[in-house]
Amino acid sequence: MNIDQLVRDADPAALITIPDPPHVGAIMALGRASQRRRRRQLGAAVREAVRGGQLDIPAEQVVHRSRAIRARRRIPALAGGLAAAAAATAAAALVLAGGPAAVPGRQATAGHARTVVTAAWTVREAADGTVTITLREYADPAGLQQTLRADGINAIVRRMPSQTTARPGSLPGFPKLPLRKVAPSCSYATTNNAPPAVQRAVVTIVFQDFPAPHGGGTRLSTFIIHPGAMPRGSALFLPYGTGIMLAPPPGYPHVKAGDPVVLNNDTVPACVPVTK
Amino acid sequence: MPGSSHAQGSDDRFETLYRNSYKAIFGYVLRRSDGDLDAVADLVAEVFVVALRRHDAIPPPPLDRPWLYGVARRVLLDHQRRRSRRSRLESRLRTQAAVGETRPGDDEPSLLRVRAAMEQLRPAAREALQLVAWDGLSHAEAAQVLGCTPNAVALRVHKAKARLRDILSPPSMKVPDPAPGLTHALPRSSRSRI
Repeated sequence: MNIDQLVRDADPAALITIPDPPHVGAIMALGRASQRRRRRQLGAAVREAVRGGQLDIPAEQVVHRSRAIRARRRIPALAGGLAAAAAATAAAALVLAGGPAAVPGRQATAGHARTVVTAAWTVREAADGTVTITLREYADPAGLQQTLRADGINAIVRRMPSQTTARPGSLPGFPKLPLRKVAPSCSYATTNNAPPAVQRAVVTIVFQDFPAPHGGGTRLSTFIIHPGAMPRGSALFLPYGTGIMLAPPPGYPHVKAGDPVVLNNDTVPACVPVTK
Repeated sequence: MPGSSHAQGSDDRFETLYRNSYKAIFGYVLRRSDGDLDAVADLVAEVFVVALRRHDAIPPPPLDRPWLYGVARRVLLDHQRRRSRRSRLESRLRTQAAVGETRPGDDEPSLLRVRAAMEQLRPAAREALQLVAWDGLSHAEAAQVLGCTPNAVALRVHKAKARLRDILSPPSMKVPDPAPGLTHALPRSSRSRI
């Protein structure tokens, strides 16, 4: 049995006449179109990542690149707006708006969605008026407070006092690592809290600050706020602090967030030291 | 201007490679697809678009031909991955159709038998055999496409043929493989042709 001959005879291309090549100019034109398409796809991917609140690229890089592009396109107004936003906040913020360009500090009009993204946190206002807060790291609490107020929430964002324990430990779902845990050093008094029914109506806790154990992926602290349910004169209090540990494993959120609480008024509750 | 003459030179080099290799690459893609000539032409164009984009990386002849086969191989793999992501079920059905019916010559029982036997080979062995027997590449060229050594290609081709002989022989006619010593006793040039 001549295997070589059998294999050669089985060649599908041996049975048809292969067409002559099209003019090389057609390939050149395709190449140019492909480059344009790749640039468009890259832009769309970045926009999609920002819109979804899943920003793998540091926000600073996105802002830097988009600023360069906008400067080239000579739209000084928006580039200036972004520069002002960056100057106003410690971490650069990227603002996306369905309608006219919105910047932190400006009241968003009802009926259109807008998202403010920084490397540390994302605030997304949906068209129905609900506001989703996602916390990744502790940074720029003033910018977060300002952004929430721009979304019509009388927000008070405070740094949560914390203390470091040198005791090494490990976390569920992660390999054992020598960790130095950072835990809140005090807990806030509840005397000024609005009634539980109001808390339930205003705040929905999607995830608190622990990742899903056993490799289920990182779940960043995410809260949904319903500003329409907040009583007149009330305030939303969000205590928020540095990471619960130093040198967290990759993907572990470097943040400790307390429960967002609705207060009856603007008085920040006292933080009572935790004693062990 | 030196820049423009360099660009002109690389354009000419690409054009020469395109004209000389178009039919070979068309055949390569056709052999590994389901026989839809329009789809094959699109994929071949994609191969040359990638080559054009990476024209700075095209090695000088004669290394440019296996380099282009390498590009075609990756474009095909990408295409297959995209397709299987789109719908795994759809992809399975299409693969079955490709093996069963639609390629040129699939209506010939004798050819179909050999192709079905080739489908039973291990992917690495099948790929090496097809590059050498169908695409006419030397062992060294196939090694460059596959990213292995020429000796590995020779071994895979040898094993593929032995396995094909085994599958295609009627049960009563099956003979044991020749003793390994016999193959090694042959001169090196004869061995590479086995």
